[in-house]
Amino acid sequence: MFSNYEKVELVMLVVPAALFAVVVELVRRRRLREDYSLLWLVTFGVLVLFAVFPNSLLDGLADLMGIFYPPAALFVVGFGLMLLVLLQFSLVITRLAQQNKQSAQRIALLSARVRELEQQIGTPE
Amino acid sequence: MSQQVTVTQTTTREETPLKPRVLVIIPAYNEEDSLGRVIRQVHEAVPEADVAVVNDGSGDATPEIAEGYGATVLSLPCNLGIGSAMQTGFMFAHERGYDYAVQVDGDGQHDPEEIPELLAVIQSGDADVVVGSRYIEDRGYITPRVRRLGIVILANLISLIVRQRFTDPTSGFRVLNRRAFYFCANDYPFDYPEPESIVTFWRAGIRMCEIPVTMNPRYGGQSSITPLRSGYYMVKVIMSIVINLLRQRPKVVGEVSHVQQLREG
Repeated sequence: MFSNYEKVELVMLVVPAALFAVVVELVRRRRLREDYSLLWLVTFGVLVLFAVFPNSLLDGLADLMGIFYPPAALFVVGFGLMLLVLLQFSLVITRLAQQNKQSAQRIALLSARVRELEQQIGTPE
Repeated sequence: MSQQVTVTQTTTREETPLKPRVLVIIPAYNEEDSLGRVIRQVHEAVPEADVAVVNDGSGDATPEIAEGYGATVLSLPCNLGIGSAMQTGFMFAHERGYDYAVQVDGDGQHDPEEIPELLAVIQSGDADVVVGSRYIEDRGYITPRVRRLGIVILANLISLIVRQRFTDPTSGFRVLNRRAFYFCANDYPFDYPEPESIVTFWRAGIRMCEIPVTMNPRYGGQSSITPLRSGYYMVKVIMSIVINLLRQRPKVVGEVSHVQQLREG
C-alpha cells in the first residue's frame, strides 16, 4: 500500500518526531537539563521540518548539495547536527573534569588541615 | 617533621625568616614498596625540610606508609594523574608559605642525597626552577633505546622553542622557588606535565636551568610506561606544547585563587 519512497518518508518523519517528544518529556521530568537538551531539540526539529516539507525544503537542499536521492540529504544534515551534539559533550566533560579535579584537590588540602587541627585540639571522641 | 611542627612554623614564620623553608613533594600512586625508603632518605638528606606525599588515589598502603614515616599526607579522593597531584603539592606549599618546593618521585628513581645540590643552585637566585638531568653527564643511567629516542626528540624540540639547551625535559626531579610554584599552583598540565611545563615556564618568564644528577632504576612498583602509552605520551606532549604556543602568554601572579578561597570560605 506504500511505495518504498513513501515508507522512507514516513520513517524520516516518525522517528525524529518521537525522539523530539522523548527529549521534551525528559526535560519536563528534570532528567535532562534545558541547556543540554537544546541541541537535541534543534537536531530533531530540523529533521522533522525536512520530513514534513519534503518537496520544498528537502528537494531544494538536496539539489543545492548535488545529492541525487533527497532522503540522503537528510542523513547529511542529521549527521552534522549530531557531530555538534558530540562536540558539546566533549566540552561539558572537559569542564566537569576540571571542576572534579579542583574539588578533589580542595578535599585533599582541607583533609590535611582538619587532621592537623584535630591533632592540635585532640580528636573529639 | 610532624604536622604539628608544620603549623607552628607557619605561625612563627615572621619571627624566623632566616632559614628558608623547604617542602619536598612526593607524588605517589601505589608506591608502598619504595615510598618509605624514599621518605627516610629525604629526611636524612635534608633534615630541615618537611615532606608532603600526595597520594593520588592509591589502593595500597601508600598513605599509611607516608604517615608512618612522618610525612604530611595529601590524599586525593580519586586518581587525577601526576600533573594534578603535583599541583596539589604546589597548592599546599603556597598555602603554608614555603620558600622552595622540591619534586621527588616516590619510586626511588631520584636520589634524595642530591636534593641539597638542587637547593644550592636555586638559592643562588639565578634560576626559578632547577631540573635534575640524567643526560648532562654520563653517570651510567641506562635508558631503553626507544625511550631515549623519544626523550631526545622532545629535548631537541623544547630546546629549539625555548632557545636554551634542555637534555632531560621529562625529568621530574626538580626544585622550584616561590615564584615558580605559585605559578604552578594556578596553571599546571594535568598529565605528563614535565616537558610542557618547561615551555609554559619559558613563556611566563620563569628562569630555568639543568644540573646533572644520577638516577637509579626503580625500587619497586610498576612503571606506568607501556609501548602504547609511550606513543600516546609523545603525541599528547607534542600536541600540548604546540597548543601551548598558540595560547595567550601566561602571567606570573602573586596570589593564587585557591588560597584566597580557603581564607574566605
